[in-house]
Amino acid sequence: MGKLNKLQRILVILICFVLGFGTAMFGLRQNSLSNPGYSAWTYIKYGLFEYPLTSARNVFSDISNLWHVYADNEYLNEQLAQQRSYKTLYEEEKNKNQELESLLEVQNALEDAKYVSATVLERSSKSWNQTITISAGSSSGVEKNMLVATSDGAVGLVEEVQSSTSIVRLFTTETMTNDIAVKMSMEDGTSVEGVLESYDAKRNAYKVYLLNETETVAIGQNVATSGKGGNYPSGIFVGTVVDIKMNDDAIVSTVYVKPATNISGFDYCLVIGSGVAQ
Amino acid sequence: MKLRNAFLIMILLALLDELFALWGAMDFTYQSFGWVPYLAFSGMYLIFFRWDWKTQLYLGAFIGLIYDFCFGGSFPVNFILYPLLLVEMSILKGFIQGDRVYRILTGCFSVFLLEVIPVLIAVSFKQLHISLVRWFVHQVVLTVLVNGVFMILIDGFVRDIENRNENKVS
Repeated sequence: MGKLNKLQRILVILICFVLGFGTAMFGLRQNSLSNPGYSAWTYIKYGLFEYPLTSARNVFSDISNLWHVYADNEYLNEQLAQQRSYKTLYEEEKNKNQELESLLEVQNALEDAKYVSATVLERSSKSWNQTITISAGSSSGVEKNMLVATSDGAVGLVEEVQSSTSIVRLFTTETMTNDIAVKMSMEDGTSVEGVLESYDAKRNAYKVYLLNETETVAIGQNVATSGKGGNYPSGIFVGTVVDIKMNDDAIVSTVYVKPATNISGFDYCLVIGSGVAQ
Repeated sequence: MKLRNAFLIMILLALLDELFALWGAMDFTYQSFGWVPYLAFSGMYLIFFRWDWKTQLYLGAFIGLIYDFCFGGSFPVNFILYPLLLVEMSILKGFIQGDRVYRILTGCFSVFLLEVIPVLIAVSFKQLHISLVRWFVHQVVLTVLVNGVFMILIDGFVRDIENRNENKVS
C-alpha cells in the first residue's frame, strides 16, 4: 500500500468497501432477507430515470400507435367508400340483369313479331320525357314507326332512323305526331278500340279516345296495342285504365290510361315491328 | 479533467447505457439485428487513457464494480474486464494519444473485446449455446460500429471540456 498514491489508496479502499458491501448484499438477497440498500438504489434509479424514460417511450409509442390508427382509419374509410361504390354498382348490375331477363321473356312471347334489342344511348335532361336515342338503327332492321317497349310495356315509337341509332318519341311527349291504335279486351271476348292521342302530364296518364263512344269501359282494364294502322303487332301492353271522363250525355269522352312502365328510367328496350322475328 | 466531473460523466453515460438497453432491448435469439451500448466503458477509456497504468487499473476495477452492481447486474464481468482493457490501452498510450483516429479504432477494438470475451468464455464453458456466426453478424458488428460513432461524440465532448479547463488554468 506504501507504493500507492493517495488516489490509488482511496480507490482500493472504495473497491474493498463496495466489493464487501455488494457481496454481502448478494448474500442477503439469496437468503431472502430484506435488502434496503439495493432496494433504495433500485427505487431511486427507477423513479428518477427508468420510469420517466419508460413513460416518455410510452408517449412516443402511443403517438406512433395513434398515427397508425389514423392511417388505418383512412384506409378503412377508403375501403368503406369503395364498398359503397361496389354496392351501388352491384345494385345497378342487378337491376340491369332483371331488366334484361324480363325483356327476354317478352322476346320469347313475341313469336310473330320482328324485334330488335337495344340499349338507351342518350336521354337528354331537356327532353327527358320527349325522346331517347337507342343503339339500334336501320342496319339492325329498325324502321320508322316501330314500337319501342320495355319489359313492362310500350313506351314510344321510332321517329327517326339512322344506320346504327334511332330516335324514339316517347308516349309521354307533349307533341305526339302519330296516334297509337289501342284496344281494351272485355271479359266477354270482345274488345273496345281506341286511339292514344296524347299524354296528360298533370294526371300522369295517356288520353285515349274511344272509336265507338257508346262502348263502356271500366277502371282497371288493361290497354294494349291493337296493331291496326301501325308498324307494330297487337297485344303489346300499354297501360291500365285509371279514370273515365263522360260528357253530358253519359257518353265516354276520354279514357285515362296509366302508363305500363316507369318511363323515367329504363336502360334496355325492344324495338318491335310487324313481321317475322329476326 | 477533475475526477468529480469524470465520475459525473461516467454516471451519465452509464444511465444512457441503461436508456439504450431499455429502449432497444436485445434479441437474444439473434434473429434480428441489435447492438449493446458500452458508453460508460467508452467514456472511461476516453477520459482516463492518459493516466498511469496503475491508477487506471484501480479506476477500472472501481468503475467496473459500480457498473456491475448498480447498472449492468453483471458482476464480476466488468469488474475484471474494465481494468484489464484500460491497462491494455495504457500500453498503447503513446500510439493513441496524439491521433484521434487510432484512439477511436483502439476503442472500437476494446469494445469488440468487451463484447466477445464474456461470450467466448461462456461458450467455452458450455454455459451458452448460440450460433457464433449469427451472433457475430447480428450483434457484434453493429455494436462495434454504433459504439464507435458514440466514441467519436464522447471524445469530442471530453476534449472540449479539457480544452476549456486548460484555457481557464492558463
